[in-house]
Parts: sequence; structure tokens; C-alpha cells
Amino acid sequence: MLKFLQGQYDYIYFFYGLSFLYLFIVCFTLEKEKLGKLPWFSLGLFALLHTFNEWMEIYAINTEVGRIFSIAHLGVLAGSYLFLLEFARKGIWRTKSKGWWMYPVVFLLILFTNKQGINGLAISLRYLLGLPAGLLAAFSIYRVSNEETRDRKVLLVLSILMVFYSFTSGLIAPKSEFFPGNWINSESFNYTFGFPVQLLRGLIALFLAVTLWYYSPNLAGSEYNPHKYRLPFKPTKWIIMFSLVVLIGIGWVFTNYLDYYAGIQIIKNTKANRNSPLNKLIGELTRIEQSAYLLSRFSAVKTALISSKTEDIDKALVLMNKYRDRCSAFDALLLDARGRVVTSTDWSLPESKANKSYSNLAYFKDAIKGQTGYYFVPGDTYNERVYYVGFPIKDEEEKIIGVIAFKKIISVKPIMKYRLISIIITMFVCIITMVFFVVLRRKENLIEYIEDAHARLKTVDQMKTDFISIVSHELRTPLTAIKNAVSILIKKELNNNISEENKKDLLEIILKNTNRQTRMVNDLLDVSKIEAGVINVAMENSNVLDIVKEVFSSLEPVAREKEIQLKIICQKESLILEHDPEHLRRILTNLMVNAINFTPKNGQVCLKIESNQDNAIFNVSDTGIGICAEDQEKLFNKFYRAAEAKTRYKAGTGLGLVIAKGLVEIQGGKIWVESALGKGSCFIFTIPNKKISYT
Amino acid sequence: MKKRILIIDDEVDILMTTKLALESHGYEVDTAETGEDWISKFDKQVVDLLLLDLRLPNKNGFQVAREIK
Repeated sequence: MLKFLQGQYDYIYFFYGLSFLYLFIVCFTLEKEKLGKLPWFSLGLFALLHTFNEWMEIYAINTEVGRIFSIAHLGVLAGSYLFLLEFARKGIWRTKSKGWWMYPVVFLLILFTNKQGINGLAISLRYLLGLPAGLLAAFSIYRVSNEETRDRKVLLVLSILMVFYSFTSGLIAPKSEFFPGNWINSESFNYTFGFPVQLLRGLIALFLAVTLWYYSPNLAGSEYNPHKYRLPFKPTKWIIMFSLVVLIGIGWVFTNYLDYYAGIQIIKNTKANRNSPLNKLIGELTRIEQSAYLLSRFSAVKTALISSKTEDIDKALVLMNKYRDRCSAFDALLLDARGRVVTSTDWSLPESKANKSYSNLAYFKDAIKGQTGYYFVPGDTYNERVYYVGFPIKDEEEKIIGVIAFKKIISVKPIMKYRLISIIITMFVCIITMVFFVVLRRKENLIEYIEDAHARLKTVDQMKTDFISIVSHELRTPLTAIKNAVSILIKKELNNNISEENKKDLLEIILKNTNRQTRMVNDLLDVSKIEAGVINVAMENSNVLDIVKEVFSSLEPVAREKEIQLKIICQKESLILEHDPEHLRRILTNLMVNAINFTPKNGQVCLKIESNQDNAIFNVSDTGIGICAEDQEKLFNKFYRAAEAKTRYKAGTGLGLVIAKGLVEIQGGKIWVESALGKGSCFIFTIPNKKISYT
Repeated sequence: MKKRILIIDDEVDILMTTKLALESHGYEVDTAETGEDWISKFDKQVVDLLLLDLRLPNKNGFQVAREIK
């Protein structure tokens, strides 16, 4: 194991728990905002219980804990995994009731496979609940990622992280004597990679939380925000993030300083106090050494080594158990001259490892040379600090035939108490910082949102003001013309001065402007209907070319007057399409009238109808004045009229394209314009149809 | 001599009706749809009264008035 991580199991567990707390907070805020299709709240509860689980572990490392504590600890672990399973279940079935059978299945599996009681349960839970729940959760996230197009990558990353987590948590479990715990476990992981698996799990949880955190605004976008809402860069966020890292670092240094300081205090007390922890410890270690020495003298032990018969070994084991209990050691091991285990009081030592060579261990190397071997493990592969004593066993000819070894778990709880205090202080500071961080972020988010909404409302307000001024102008102009004409006709003294022809002109002006007024009012009503979404659609399957012909014949006189040629290009005799004929007529009329109005004399207006698998495409092109790019963007806005339009064509309401757009969209189509100034314009719209048929 | 009145408005119908009304009162009336239109058509002619719409395409009424001056 990496040097700086030795003896730091408690702090690693602290970090592990903190990452899960962070994940919980992130999940909790996600749920608050009602985001996404996945039940993040369940994942949050899993993370919260996992935090408790890991922090209980710190307590278990640093103080004496009772049986009730162990059972509670186990319950918290089981609870956290159950919430993970719940997350997976809800994510896969999306309903409250389906998939409940998973719980009894898991329960029965654990009940029937567990043979080690409480101790084995912790391991069975990981294999039979943690691993499948994690993998199912990853699967459910992956499935949602296939449905979402925008947040796909984020969800994929999350599901991959979840797979990693389920393997590190569900497969790399504490050592056990059955498969796969005897083959892959947290100890073997530590030997292979040089750092504890708990650190890796903590890092995975951190990545999970950070991924969720930074993409949560995007996830939010899919539900309640019509436009993708992303927070801009804010330095405060990073400062808090950085300070959290610094805090964890300071906490670590502080913890280790207290550890060191407590050690010094204990040594100081040693001289004065016989009952000081160090004196006690020295006494215990001396007793272990004595026991090892005594055991190495027993002929039964020697016989066991020489004969290696089962009954001899069993006799030796009885003695070893006795002496182990007498000196309150954890385990006693009997090794032969080549370092292989002959017998051991360790129940968890698997059969397959009985012949494993311990020859490379330091205490064995010393003992086989005839000295007493000592070996101190400062919290390396275990959470505990372990002390080994190896003593050589000699036969009658003073030849070393084996080694008797004792393993003692050193209780350094007085020192550990200081570590615990330091960790708890760091814990509180970190939690406060994190909560502050979240609150601040939510506040920032809210402020941003309000500012944005305010800006949008302002634009809407401006648009309304413009709307009213334009409407009143558009309505007043024809009224003025009518009023003028009527007042001339009605006054005798004026009436006498004008010719009969002019009188007729005036009457025509009245009629024309009345029509214009009517058209304007109708258009306004249609626009408001479209905007309110209450416009009726009566879709029917019929030949659209009939409507096209109708529109053309109605526009023919106007076009002829302006000497404009009208043309239809369509490959087919008929095009049956599901559409609303009234709406289509209106769209075509609006576009064609525009085209005719903006095309100078001797020009051409052409309607091209094409169709592909999904859409029928109508293309109205003219040889008119064209529209510049700037105007093209605003063209479909209410009352927008390009500068050129205002000069050459006065009768427009500025609503024709808005109505056309609304009517196209209500039929599921799209409308856009392609044009350049001076080169004519081309208005294109589509009407989708699943069953286009030709004859 | 008849007094000359110039009307500039982009709404043809308003132009027509106003022209008729003023003519029937015995004025000589010139009309133009935009400022540029009048400047190109009736350059250097003096008018007694100018009726000018403020909301005109391209150049607004104030700009046109400044140019005519």
C-alpha cells in the first residue's frame, strides 16, 4: 500500500462518506426540481444511507463497538442497497407497483446462501444485493440514455460510472472463505493496486455526483425549461469547491498531528503510570512473545510439524487455541520450515490457502534464522494495526523445523479517539461548506432565472406596445380614407365641384378601404386564434392540386393586371395528402399574393410542388425584389414588413406570413424563406404525410 | 392665382381623397407618395403649403421637410 495511506483507513472512510453525502445533496436538488425520468430521490437516499454506513465504519475503527452497533451498521448497509435497488426498479419499470418481486427474490437468495451468520451477511449483502442492484441501476440509466437525445452522453457516463461502482462495491468485498471472496476481495485489491478499494469507491461516487451536478441544468432543460438553461461561469462556485478540497486536506493534516501528539502524551505518561496504555501494550506484547516461546517448546507442536498427521496437528491446534486465548492474541499460525501453513486458528483462512507460502513475510524470515521475528502493520491491508511475532521451533538437534507465529490486533483506541474527534470536526465543517455551496448555487440559479425571465418579459412588453401602435395605425388609415371620401360626397358645396368620374373613384375608395379594414380585422382574429392555439383543423385526404388550381384561378386577374406570369410545376397529375384544405388555400393565397405584389411587371411567380417519403414540399418563388438576410429572420414576426415592402406595396397588413406560418405548423409542417436582395424570393413550406399516394 | 398645396403621404387613398377635397375648395394640389418622389418630379417649384405625413418609408417626414427647405 502507498506509504502515505498507511494507517489512514478512518480518513479514507471519511472521504468515502463525504463523496456519498455530496451525491445525496445533488440527487436531492435534482428531485426538488422534478427532473428527468429517473427517480433520483431513491439514489439520493441510497447515497445518504451509504454515508452513514461509511461514517459508522470510522467509529468502528476508532472505538470499541458492541454487537448492537454491528447489527445497526449492517442494517444501514442493507438499507442503502435496497434504495439502490429501488432506484433501478423505478428506473426500469417507471411505475410504482411493477418489479416488486425483486425484493423477496433477493431476500430469499441471501437467506439460503448465507451460512456465516451476521459476519457472512455483510458479505452476502454485497454479492447478492449490492452487485445486482448497481448493475440494474446502470442498466436503467443506460436505457433512459437511449431515449434522450440531448443528454445522452451524460447519462452514458453516469451508467458507466454506476457499473464501476457496482463492481468495486459488490464484487470487491471483504475477504471470505467462499468464492469469489477467496479469490477477489478488498485485501487482494489492496495488494495489487497499492491503495484501498474504499478510496476508489469514494472517487467513483465523487465523479457520479460531479457529472450529475454539472449537467443538472441541462437535465432541467428537458422538463420545465423550453430553452436549454445553463449557468454561466461563476467564480464563487469554484472558490467554495476549492476551499472544500483545502478543508479536507487541513482535516487530514490535523488528524495526523493529533494522532502523533496523542502518541507523545501517552509515552510521557508511561513513566509515571503503570496503567498507561503503552505500559499495558508492552505487557500484552511481552505475553504474546512468552506464549510463542512456550508453544515452540511443546513436543506436541514439534510432533505435528514432523509427522504432519491430522491427529497430531489437531493436538497442536488445541494448544495453540489455548495459548492464543491466554495472551489475548487474535490468531496463532504454525508454519513449516518452507513457510507453508500447517495449521491456524484463523477460521477464515481458506482451505486453498492452507498450503500458501508465508516465506516472504518479515517475521518468518527472521524466525527461520533463529531470532524472534517482529512485524508491525500500521493499518495496511486491514483497518486495524496489527503486530506479528514469529518464534523458531527447534528439534532435538537444535535444527529449525518450523515457526510459530502470533497475530495481535493492537488496540490503540486512546490514540484513535483523537483521530475520531478531529475527523468529526472536519466532517461538520465540510458539511456546512457543502450545504452553503448548494444553497448558494440554488440562489444563483434562481437569480439567473429571474433575470432571464425579466429580460424576456421586457421584450414581450415592447412587442405589445409596438403591436398596439401598429394596429391602431393600420386600422386608422383605411378609416381616414373612408371618412375623407364620405365627407366630400356628403357636402353639397364640395360635391358640386367634382366630376362624376371622381365621385365614382371616391365610392371605389370607400369600398376598397372597407374591404381592407375587414381583411385586417379577420387577419387579427386569425392571428390571435393561432397564438391562443384554438384554431380548428379539419384534416382530410384529398387532392391538393385541386386547391392549387382554385387559388391560381382566383389570382389570375390580379396577375394579368400586373402582367405577371403564373406557373405551376408539378410532376404528378394528382397528389393525395392529408391536410386542411381551407388552411392550405389560405397559406397558398397569402404566399402567392405576396409574391405577385413584390414582383415587378413582366415578372414570373412559380409554384413548384414536390414530394418525398415524409413531406409534400410547396415552393413559391418569384422574380421580385428579394429580401435581405436581416429581414428574413424577422419576416415571420407579427406586423413585420421589410423596408422595401413598405415603399412599393402599401396594402399589406404584415400578418400574412404570421398566419401562413401558424397554419403550416398546425398541420405539422415547416415554413422558411430563401432569398437574396434583388434576386427574387422563395418561400418553401412542407406538409407532412405518412401515406402520400400518387396516380 | 391659385394657392399651391403639396401633399406627401404613402397611402394612395388618403392622398386621393384629400386632393379631391382640397381641389373642390379651389386649390391647386400636387401629390407625391414619398419625399424623394416629389423632389425628383417637382424640383424647384414653390409651394404655399406642405401637408406631410410623418411616417413615410425610407425617409421620415422630418428628414423630407429638411430637404425641401
